[in-house]
Amino acid sequence: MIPVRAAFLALIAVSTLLVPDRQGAASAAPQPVPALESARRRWERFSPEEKERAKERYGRFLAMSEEEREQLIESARRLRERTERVQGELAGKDAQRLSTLAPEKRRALVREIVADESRAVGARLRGQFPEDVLARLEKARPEDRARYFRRFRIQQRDRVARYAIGELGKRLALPADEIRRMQELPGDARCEAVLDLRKRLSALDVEVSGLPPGITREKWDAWLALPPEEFFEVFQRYHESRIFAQSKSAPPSPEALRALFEASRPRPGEVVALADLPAEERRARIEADRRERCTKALREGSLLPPAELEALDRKTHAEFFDTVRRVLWNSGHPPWPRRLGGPLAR
Amino acid sequence: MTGDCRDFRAALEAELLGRPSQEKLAGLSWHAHLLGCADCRELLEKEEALEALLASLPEPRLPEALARRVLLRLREDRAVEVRLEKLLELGDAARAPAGLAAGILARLAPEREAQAARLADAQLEKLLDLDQDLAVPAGLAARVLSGLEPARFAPARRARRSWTYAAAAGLLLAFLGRVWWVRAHSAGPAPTELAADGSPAPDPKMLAALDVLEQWDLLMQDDVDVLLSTLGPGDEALLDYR
Repeated sequence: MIPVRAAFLALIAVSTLLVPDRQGAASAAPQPVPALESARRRWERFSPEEKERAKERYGRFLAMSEEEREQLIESARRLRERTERVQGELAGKDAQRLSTLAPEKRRALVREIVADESRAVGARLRGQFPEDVLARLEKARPEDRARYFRRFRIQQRDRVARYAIGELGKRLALPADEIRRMQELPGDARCEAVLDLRKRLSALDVEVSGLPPGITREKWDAWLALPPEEFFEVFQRYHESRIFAQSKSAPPSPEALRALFEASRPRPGEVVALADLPAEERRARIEADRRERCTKALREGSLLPPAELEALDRKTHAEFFDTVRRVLWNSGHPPWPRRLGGPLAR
Repeated sequence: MTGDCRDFRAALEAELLGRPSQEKLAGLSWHAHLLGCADCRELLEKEEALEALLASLPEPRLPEALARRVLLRLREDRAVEVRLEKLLELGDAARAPAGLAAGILARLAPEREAQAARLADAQLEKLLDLDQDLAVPAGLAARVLSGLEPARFAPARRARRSWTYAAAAGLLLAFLGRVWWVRAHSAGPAPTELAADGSPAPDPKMLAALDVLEQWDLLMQDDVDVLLSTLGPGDEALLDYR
């Protein structure tokens, strides 16, 4: 009996000393010091009202489940990266105009641009989501969405990633053992393996079929030097710029689709140009201009049946842009051929 | 000691009350608890050994002279009682004053008690004298002491167990205190430093979640597209294989 008692005491002692800081771990994953320093500097730039608002949000954040917090941290990190890229681009193109604005105003404009761009990216991706997942996400409360979204990602990494590795491995003629090893990697690593295999397949495609249209050897080599994740992003942007040119289906014609795509694209310059307007008015003006451009592209390209074209004017903004999204991204036949990898196939 | 140990020991105690026998204890040896508890098995074996030892001792006998004296004295006492009862019966018949019998008994009571005590002392003394005459088997004292060991050391063990439980309770309290401390310090800011502008420094955990707090409006809006747009490259690539 004594050893059992001793073990019990030891267990309590050890757990007392080593009890993990679960809430801290979930709500704030360990970050490198520079990230924390960057956050501290951003915090110090907040106005007192912004600080108060952030504290109130933090209380709501802590009340969420660990799963929701983890997904929100991940999503917010991606939005911050997008924000930093937009800031960098604006600093290059609109530096003079931006320098006349107060810091808070500049931050608000950047937020608007990021929101616009995020909606455009999301509109493109939603066509690739399973309908039931999308329906569930749309019906869920914003607080619950993060949880469903995370579960979808985990499910993809568990099942789809194994299939993708199998397919890519076969195309790359990898040994069966190597394919199996990659399929058994943990979720994150398996996902990285997919990106790595896609990059290798793209390199192989170029060796066999030559460089993608409009890309020089130097540029291609510079892309190949990037890590798989960055290679995917760069290549994705290139692909988006080419998708309608590659489409062979008719109707709709690739030119008409491309014109609609360009008309619907967010234009950060517009936001900066209308910086003096109140936010609501600026948003309304930008949305009206975009709607006008899209209507023109839809009519000139005959991208909708005449009855639907006539009904466009009676639609709300939300209904109108839903139609644009359907024409561009969500049609039964995607306007560009999606394949398992490789620049020419995609 | 587990709850099963306690149950078994209660059963053993019940068997040891009154006049225990080896047969009764043998019945307990089938107790299921003994299959997994060496301590209780050992305890039962010691009790059985003690009972066997006690059973091997000769029955004590009073010397004849002592027995005669005791019986004589008992008869004398009985004679006094009989005489008194007769007297009381006579008093009742002669219409004795009310309360006479009760008064007499009350006056006699101390004397009767003292007499009974003297008699008991004398009998005990005789019995003890008698014990000295018995032949004690070799090693009896050691075996008796060994059999009584659990009882002799029980208080010390109880004290040690109390200390163990006290230590466990202390550690448990420390554990709960630490859990409370961790929660308290992770749930809310506990600024001890000052920021550059002199305001209290923000909680580092809140800073680690600052991305979320900054992008809150975007993440919490009704439009699901923003959330979809946060899919990482790896996850986005997997959408092609669905």
